[in-house]
Amino acid sequence: MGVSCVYSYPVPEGRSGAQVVEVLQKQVETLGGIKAGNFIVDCETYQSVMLNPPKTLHILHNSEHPASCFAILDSGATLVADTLFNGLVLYLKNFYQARKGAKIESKGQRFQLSDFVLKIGSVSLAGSMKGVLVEVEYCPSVVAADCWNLMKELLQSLIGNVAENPPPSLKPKMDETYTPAMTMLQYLDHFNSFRTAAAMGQPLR
Amino acid sequence: MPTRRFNMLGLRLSRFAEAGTRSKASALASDLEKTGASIGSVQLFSNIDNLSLDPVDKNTVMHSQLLQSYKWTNKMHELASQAVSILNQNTLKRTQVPRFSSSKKQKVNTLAACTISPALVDQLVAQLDQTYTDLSISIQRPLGNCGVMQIELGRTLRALVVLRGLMIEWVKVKGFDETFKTEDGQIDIWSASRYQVFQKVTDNAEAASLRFFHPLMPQLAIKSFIMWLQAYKNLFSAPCSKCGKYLQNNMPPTWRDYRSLEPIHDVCQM
Repeated sequence: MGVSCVYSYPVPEGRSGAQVVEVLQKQVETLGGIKAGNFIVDCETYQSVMLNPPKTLHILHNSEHPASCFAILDSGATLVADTLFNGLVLYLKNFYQARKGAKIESKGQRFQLSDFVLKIGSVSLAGSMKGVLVEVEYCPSVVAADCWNLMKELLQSLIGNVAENPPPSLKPKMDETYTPAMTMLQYLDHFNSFRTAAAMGQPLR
Repeated sequence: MPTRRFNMLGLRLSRFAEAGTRSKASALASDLEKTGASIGSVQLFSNIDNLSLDPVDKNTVMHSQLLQSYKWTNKMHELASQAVSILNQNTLKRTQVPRFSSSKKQKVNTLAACTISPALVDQLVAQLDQTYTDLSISIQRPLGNCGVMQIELGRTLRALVVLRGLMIEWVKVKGFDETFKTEDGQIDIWSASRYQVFQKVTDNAEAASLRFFHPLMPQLAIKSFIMWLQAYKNLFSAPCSKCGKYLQNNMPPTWRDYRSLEPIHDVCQM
């Protein structure tokens, strides 16, 4: 477990997401990254039935933490539970119902680069590709403020100026001890902006 | 081949002897001597050569392996004797060469650092714990006299130091999210960190424990070692003092200078 930063990598016009992923993968391999399996982060969204205004509940899973399930409210309140929690949500269908066509996931190749883990995921919403997410994890450290500069150096050699600042959801928590839930919050942020972009009917820049 | 030649010569010699031609016999005798000289002395086979001739062993690789290990031992012996001659020039030693002499003489040789009472060690550890606010140091004695010191440095790393008296015998460094406990709750001094950074820091800390060793002032040695270790607090946040970069070969600066305590990459030191 270490500090993770997740960034959305813009897909330039006239290029497909798959091409961008391929270029990024090649770049990681040139840096010295070694393929180390696949990963998947998925998110399902539930909406409260009775409350007005309706509340949303996001259930996320991460293959990096296969025995856990992350439930996040819009306020950012996070519950980390066993995967049994999935079954519990099904029982709550009178109160929370899954939003149709809202399942979004990021999956792709995982790379190991000494103590870094790099993940290049293609994001798909209801089966169609929406963009590219790059996650860089530095495993030995547990404080984001400590290792941000070091991660920035690696990130910039990979994705350039996209990684000028720490991810916005991580910024207020830079001095705290890092937890896996912070990674999930970053993913959720990106998933939400992909969804709104899809709702607006235009690709995210 | 040589035996057959000898036989033939012997046969001819006996024939001439019968004929009574002395001169020819002497010529033949000298001939025989010449042949003998040209053949040279018979080579005595060692056990290992006999083994190589054994047809049963043809299929196995034992002979070549034996030869290889023989060469290896020879080389090791050579290097060891060179090392001894170099090390003998240094009179200050960490470890005593066991000398099979009277016990009185051995007592004189024991280092002062090893004979310090546990109470004094505890006192020093408590004092160090108070001096450095970002370090938390605790000491345990799981197996009698030797102390195992566990150091926690901020939220950066954990270190384990095994002491004999006040002499540092063993150092391991791990990440903050790793532990020095085995599954059944005992202290685990052997396992290495799963992160490359801390494996490197462990190597450097071991080197430092030798560097700071002082035979006469063990307290000073420990204090300077702890002070040096404390410099790792900014392991992830400080750039290299030489190249100014954070990463080199995807690693932060894992070396701290002995005097200035400045962070330097392993590669930049050279």
